[in-house]
Parts: sequence; C-alpha cells; structure tokens
Amino acid sequence: MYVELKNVVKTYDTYRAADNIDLAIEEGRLVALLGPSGSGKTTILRMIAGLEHQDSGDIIIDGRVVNDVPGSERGIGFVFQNYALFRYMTVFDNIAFGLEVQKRDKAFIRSRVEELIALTDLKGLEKRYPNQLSGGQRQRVAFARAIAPSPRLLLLDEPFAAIDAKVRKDLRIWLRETISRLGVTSIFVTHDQEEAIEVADEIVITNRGHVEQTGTPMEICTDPKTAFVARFIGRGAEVSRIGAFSGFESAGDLCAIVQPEFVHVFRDGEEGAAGGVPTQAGVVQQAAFRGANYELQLTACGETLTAFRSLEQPAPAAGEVVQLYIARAKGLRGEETVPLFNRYLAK
Amino acid sequence: MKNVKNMQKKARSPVIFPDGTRKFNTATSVIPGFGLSIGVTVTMLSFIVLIPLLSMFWSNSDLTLADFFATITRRRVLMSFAVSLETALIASLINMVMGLVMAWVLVRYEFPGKRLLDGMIELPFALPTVVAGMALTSLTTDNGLIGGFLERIGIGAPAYTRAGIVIAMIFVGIPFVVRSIQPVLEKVDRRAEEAAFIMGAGPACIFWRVIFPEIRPAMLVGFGLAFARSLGEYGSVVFIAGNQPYKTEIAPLLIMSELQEYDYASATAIALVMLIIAFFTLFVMNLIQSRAARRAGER
Repeated sequence: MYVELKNVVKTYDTYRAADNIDLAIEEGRLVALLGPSGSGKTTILRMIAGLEHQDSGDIIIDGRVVNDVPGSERGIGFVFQNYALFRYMTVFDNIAFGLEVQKRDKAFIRSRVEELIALTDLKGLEKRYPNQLSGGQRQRVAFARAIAPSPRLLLLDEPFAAIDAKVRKDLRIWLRETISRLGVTSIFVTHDQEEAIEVADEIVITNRGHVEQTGTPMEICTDPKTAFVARFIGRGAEVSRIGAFSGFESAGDLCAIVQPEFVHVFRDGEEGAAGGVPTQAGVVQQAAFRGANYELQLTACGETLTAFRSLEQPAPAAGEVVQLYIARAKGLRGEETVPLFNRYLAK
Repeated sequence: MKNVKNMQKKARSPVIFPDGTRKFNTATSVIPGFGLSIGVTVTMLSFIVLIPLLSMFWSNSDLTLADFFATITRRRVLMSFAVSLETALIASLINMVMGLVMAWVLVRYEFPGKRLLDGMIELPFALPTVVAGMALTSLTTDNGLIGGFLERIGIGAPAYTRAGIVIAMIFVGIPFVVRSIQPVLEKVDRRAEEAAFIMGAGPACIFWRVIFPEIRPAMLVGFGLAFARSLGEYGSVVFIAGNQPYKTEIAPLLIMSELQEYDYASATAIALVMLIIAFFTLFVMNLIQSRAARRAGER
C-alpha cells in the first residue's frame, strides 16, 4: 500500500472530524474521497498533506510513518479549492515556485516549466497574472504548480468546484487522462458523486468522520455495503416495506432503497413490454424532463418511487395510472444492506 | 463572463474596464445620481480643504517670488525642514515595521484582551495631541520614568532632542499604519501560504514571496499617511521637542513662531513648502496604491 491511515483520530473541540479512519491506497491509483459536507473528507486530505495533525493514529506514505514529518517534506503536490495561486506572480513564476524553493538550477527550472506549460495547454499565457485567466486556466496552473516538483503523491481538494459546468466536464476528462499518463498516485476530494464515478479508479465514501466503503465506482454503485452508501449513492427512493411489491414478497417488512434505474414503468397498452413479469398499478405524481430522460415521481402500494423513462417513449402525464415493477432493490437491515431481486426476473 | 460578475459586484462604484475606461453604473446605485454625489464631494472638499488653503495665499499676495525664496532658504528655515523630514521619516519607518507587527498580531492570533488592544490602536486619534505630548515629555525627561532610566544607562533622556520628536511622531502615526495593513492582511489567502509551505518554502520565504507582495501597497500607504501626519504634527511635538532653533525646531513650530512675530509672509512661505511636500507624499502613495490594484486586479 502506498498511502495508509491507521486508526487516525482528529477532533476539533468536541467535533470528531476523523473517527478511527483506516484507509489504504495503492500506488498509481486515482482515488476519490466522496462524502457529504462535514463528513471529514477534507480533514483526511489535509492530514495526509501535513496541514493538519492527527490527535492519534499513524499516517504512512510509501512505507514511512510521516506523523512527525512536516508537510513540506512529504513529497506531496496539493491543488487547493479555489486554486490559491500566488496573485503577484505570473503563470510562469507560479509554476516555477516549487522548483525555485528546491534551489534547482535556472536552466532546469525553465525547461521543466515549459514542459508543464505544454502539458497543461497554457502556451502563450506564461506572463499573465492569475486574475487575467479563466477559471479553467487557473485550475490548470494550480495543477501544473502542484506537479512541477514531481511529487509522489498528488492531493486535490474539490478541484472542480469553482468551474462552470461545461468546462468542468472537459477538465475532468483532461485531469483523468493527464494523471494516468503521469502515473502519480492521486487522491481528490469531492461531494459530487457523478464526478467521483467518472474520474476515479476507486472511491472512498466517508460519513461522519469514518470510512463507510471503499471500492471501484462499479462496486460502490451496484453493491453498496452500508445503509448510508445505499442512501447516498444514486437517486434511490426509500421504501418502508419492500414486501408490498410483487416479486419481493419474501422480504416482508424490510425497508429498502430502490434506484430509479430499476423501476420499469408501462403506460396503458404497453404492459406487453414487461415480458410477463407481474406488474402493479401506480400513479404518476410528477413527470419532469431531465434532458437525457424523464424523471417520474410515482406512488404505488402507499410508497413513493422515482423512475426514469426514455425520451423515445411518450411521457406519462401527472395523475395518470401506470403499471410498474421493480427489478432489484437494496434491503436495509440496521447498518447492513441485503441485495434483493425480483423473483420473477431471477428465472 | 468575469467582467459581468465584477460589474454586478461593484455596482455602486465606477466600473473600471480592463482597458482603463471607467463607467458609472447609475441604474443600480443607492446614492441618487452621479451628478449629485460628485457635487457634494467637490463642495465638501472645496469648503474644508481647497478654499482655506488658497485663501492663505490670497491674503498674502504681497509675497514676491524673490521674497519667497529668500524666506525658505534662510538657514533656520532650512534646518527646520531638515529636522521635520528627518524625524518624520525615521518615525514613519519605525511605525511601518511596528505597525506591521501589531496588525499581524491582531489578525493572526486569538488571545484574551484582543478587542481591547484593537480598540486602543485608535487612541492617538481621539486624544488631544497636547495631552499626549505632555505625557510623553514627563516620561522621557531625565527625571521621568523612561528618560531617567535611559539617562542612567548612558543613552541620555530623549526629551528635548530629536529622539523625543520621533517618539511623539511614532505616537500620532501608528494608527495609520496598523489600520492600513490590518484589513489587507485579513484578506490574504491562507491557502496560498499553505501551498507555498507544501512545496517546501520556509517561513521567511512564505513571508517575503507570498504575504509581503500582498501587503506591500498597504504598508506603503500606511507609511505615507503616517509620514504626512508626522510632518504636520504640532501639538504633541511642541512639548517634547525643546524647540531649539537649528536643532529641535520643526517646520510647524517655526510657522507658529513666525506668526507670533506677525511675520505672516514668512509663515505662509514655509507653510506653502510644507503643503507641497505633504501633497506630493500623498499623491505618490495614491499612485502606488492604484498601480498595485491594477496589477493584482479584483480578487
């Protein structure tokens, strides 16, 4: 393991920002720390960087316990939220800063900065000041500045938070490709699950100062291990008694999370498309156009469900009675989750 | 996109576009109209600053250019300018450094009594300077608390010397420096300091390369204000200076003594030179400030 946290505890006054964190990250991976605000993800990042000091526990980077190593000697690159560029330095000087501090010779600094300017597509902007750049350009300067001294570990705090939606999408793809090309182990903090799923090799879900689950985006989405993750990931609706739905009778009184992807909705006359799976009646409360699909709010068996419907099919109107079945759900038993499948689909 | 955002944020003040043109966004202004508010501004400035100063010269128009130069090149007058400039410069330099330390403590640390200390900074504004002058004098004469001690260890009591003048000027100038630096230091982005730290920069490097460029304009402005104030200070200096011609006589004191001898022409000539120096100082400070603002742009 390249980065390891063992029983790390950090308390601010009475608030436990990190409560016995155990975490292991493999070399060369791009990992997302994902969680709601106040879940301790930024604290974890800052402790790894040495900007905060844990109350107890060990932080290990590359086999070395760094508890007493100051952040400046941990070989870390850090990209701050809002970038924290040096306002009174040009783009060139910003990127060169880390190398100058290391007292590298002038020729080396020049060639390294030029290399990074090419990598981050900032050619022609070397003499600009940060306030003369767009959000996306500033982000790339911050990235170039962080990786200039060739850190072994790159940490990014909400790297896309301050950029508008269109640019953000492009930057995500760019960042993912660049990091995998450089092969530097990277950890980034985000509260946006779509971003984590799209960018990361591995997602660490944090909640109230502890790690809920670690896994690939696929594992996190399809197999949430805890009730918190099941509720947090996706846009699932919580159903208080899943046994009321056909195909799930054996689950009885179990409470469950039903993701909209697994709710199939049929209008009058479309039931044939269900392929013989028994359906139930539901009432459309709301049908909202979401760009890529329709999002339906339905009530069935006294529960509220969310479902998606393709734009190819005609949209049901609010108040319309439709037929539906649920393909799968996540039963919640205390803090544990139980995968549930519609028994008519299982065969 | 960014410009539009800035415009909305700064709707109540002139919007300065990147090419340097200014536009007043009157549509969303709270104070009614540019015309009225600039009118009030100019009227106020005229009544309080321009007209009194100009009238000084009108009433003494019998002063010829030759008289003027003869007056201001008298040795006693030149020495008073030298004393004024020297002591004001030293006091403002000390103030700039000490003011930075005080602003730093007030911004960066939490400690009991911080509010009280913060409030005390402005005391030199509120106190009649004569009171301050008397207090400082009694402290620094050779039988005063501090003066006595300095006398015993062989440095000599500062009262009735230029050192005494510097002490009085430090007292009246310090709030300008602290209050100039404080808000700017509060706005310095701590993340930029952390970024420098992670890249391996030491405390000195972080201060000089990251923090100092941010507060440098504010330090210079504070210095300029303190300098201008020190040059013009009279009330507190008159007690502590001893007022020996050629040694501890500052220009404002000389003006006063010329007035007491009914030599209005000389007093006016000296005053004019003081006015030019003060205006020039403040003008340069303004220039520095606006240049710095243009370079860093809006945050």
